[in-house]
Amino acid sequence: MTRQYAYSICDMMDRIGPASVQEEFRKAGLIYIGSYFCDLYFLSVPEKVWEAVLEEISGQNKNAVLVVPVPSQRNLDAVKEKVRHLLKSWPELIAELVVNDPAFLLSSGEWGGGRDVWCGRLFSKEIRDPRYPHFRQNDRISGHISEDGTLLGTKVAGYEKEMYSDGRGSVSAAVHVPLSYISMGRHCEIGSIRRTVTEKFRLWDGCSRPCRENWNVYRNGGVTFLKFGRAVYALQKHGEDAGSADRVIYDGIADLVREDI
Amino acid sequence: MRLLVPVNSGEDLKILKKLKEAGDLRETTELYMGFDLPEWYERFGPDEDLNRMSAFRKEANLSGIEQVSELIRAASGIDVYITLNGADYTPEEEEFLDEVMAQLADAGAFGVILGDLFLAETAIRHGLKPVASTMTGIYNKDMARLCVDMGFQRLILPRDLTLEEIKEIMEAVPEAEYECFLMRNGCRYSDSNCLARHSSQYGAICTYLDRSQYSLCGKAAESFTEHDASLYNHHLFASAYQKAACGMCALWDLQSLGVTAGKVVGRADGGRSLLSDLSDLFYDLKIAGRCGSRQEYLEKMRMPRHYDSICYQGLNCYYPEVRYR
Repeated sequence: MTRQYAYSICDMMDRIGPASVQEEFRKAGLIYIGSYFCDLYFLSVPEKVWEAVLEEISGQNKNAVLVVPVPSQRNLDAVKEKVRHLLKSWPELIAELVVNDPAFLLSSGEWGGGRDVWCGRLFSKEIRDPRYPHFRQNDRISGHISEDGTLLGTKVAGYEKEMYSDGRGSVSAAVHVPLSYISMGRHCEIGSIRRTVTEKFRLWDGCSRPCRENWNVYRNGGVTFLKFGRAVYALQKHGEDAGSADRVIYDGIADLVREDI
Repeated sequence: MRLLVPVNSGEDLKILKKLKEAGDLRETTELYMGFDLPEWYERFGPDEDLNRMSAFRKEANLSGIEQVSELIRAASGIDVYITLNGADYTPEEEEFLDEVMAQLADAGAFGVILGDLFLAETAIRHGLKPVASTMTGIYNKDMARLCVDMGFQRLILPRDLTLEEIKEIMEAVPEAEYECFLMRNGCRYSDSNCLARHSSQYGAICTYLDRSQYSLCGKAAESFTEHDASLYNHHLFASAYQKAACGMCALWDLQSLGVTAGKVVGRADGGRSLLSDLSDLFYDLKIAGRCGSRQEYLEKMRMPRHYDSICYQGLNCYYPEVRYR
C-alpha cells in the first residue's frame, strides 16, 4: 500500500486560510475536518466556516475526512444531525469518517453512506505518556479487530495512533505527527477565559471557541506539552518517524502554534 | 441509594463497621477494592496494569486473591466489587482474567468493575455482576445501550456529566443500574480519555502540568487585559478547581433519579481519612430520604467536612448545577 499523507485542521477550522498554504497541507491528499475532542467545537463552527473549508479542499482537488468527537448526552442529537447534514451536503467531497465513540461506530452503518470508517485517536485506550519513554502506544486495538476487518461487528477501514510502532493488524493504521494526544476532559480551561467564576469550566451554554486564539504551552522534564482546546498534547521528539504506517496525519495545530513550541 | 466505599485493609473495614450513621451495612453500603497479583506481573511485565490504580501497588491494592477473599469473608454479606478496570487488555491478558474472575467468584466477590467492554461476558459466565467502569466512557445514551447490550448490569457514569444528562441516560436505558460519583478526588480531565499514566513517580498529568513551567499563548500575550483574564482563569483551573470534589448537595437529586450507588473515591487514602466524609454522607442520605424537594434537602443537610474551604462558587462540586444554575 502506498503511504497516504493527510493534514488535519480539526479543532482549528477557522484557520483554513493560513493552513492551506503550509507545505504539509499542499502535500496532503486528504484533509481532516471537524473535531477529535470537542462536541461543542464541532457544533459551534458556523456553517460559513464549514463551507469555506470544504470549498478550499475541493478547490485544491483533495478529499475531506470528517472527524466526529465523542458526543456528550446533551449534544448527542445535534451532533448526529450535523453529521447527517454535512454528509448530505458534500456527498462526494467527504470521502471518509473518523469516529471516537464505540456507539457511534456501531451506528455508522446507518448514516455513513458506505464511506470508510476509521477508529479515531480516542478509540484506543492504550497509555501514551512521554514522561515514561517505555509507555508508547502500540497496536493493541488491532487485537479486537477481526481478520475480516470488523470491530464490534462493524467494518472499519483502519485505526489511528499517536506514534510509530511495529505491530500491525488486519486493517490500515494511521499515525499522527508531530503532536501526540495525551488527555482531555469536558471541563475546559481555555473555553472559560472570559466567563464568570460560576460559569467557568463547565460550558453549560455552549462555547464561542476562545481556543481559536488562546493556548497554553508547558515544559517539564524535557517534554513540551500543549493545551489546545480541551486536549493536552505532547510534542513528539525530533527524529521520531511514522515508521511503516499506511497513512500519516500531520496536525495543523503544530503549524498554528509553531512559534510557541 | 447505597454508598460504594473503598476498602484496602481489614482495618478500613473495622473502621467502617464502627460507623453508627451507616446503619446496617448490608443495606446501606457496598464495598470495592483492587488487588495486586505477582503472577500477573511475572507474565505480562511490571508495567502492565491489572487495574487503574495498579501503579500505586500496596498503597491502593490488596495483596493477592487470598487477601481479597479474607476481606470478603470479613465483610459478612456486604456486596463486594473488585476493580479490574484497565481499559486496554491484550487478548492474552483477557484470557488470564478469565481465570482470575473464576477465583474471585470462588472467593465470594459480588461483581467486577471492568474497563474493557469485551470482559462483561466473562464476568457473567462466572456469576459475577459486570459493572462498566468510568473507563468505558459512557457519555451518552447510545454508549449506555451498547454497554447493556454487551452484558453490563451496572453503569458507572463519568464524573463530568450533568444531572440532566444522567437523567436522560437513565430514562433511555432504564434496565441498567447506575452509579455516580459522589465524594473526593475530583478530576479535571476524563477518566476514559486520560491516556497518561497514573502513578506516584510523576503524579497524574493534570498535577504534573500544574507544576510545569507554562506560557499562556496566542491572544493572552497581546494585551494586559487579555493576559490578566487568561492568568486568573489559569490559576483557578490549576489551583482551585476540583481539588476536593464533593456531590453532597446533589444527594437528593441522585436519590430521586433512582441512582443505585453513590461512589466514594479514595482507594489509596485509607479508611480513617474517609471516616468523616462517610459519616456526613450516611447522615445526609437519611435526610434526603425524608425530604420532598431539593430545596428542603439543601436547608436540612449537614454541610461537608472542610465546608469553609472547599465550598466556593461550585469549583469543587461534582454537580454544581444544584446550586449555581
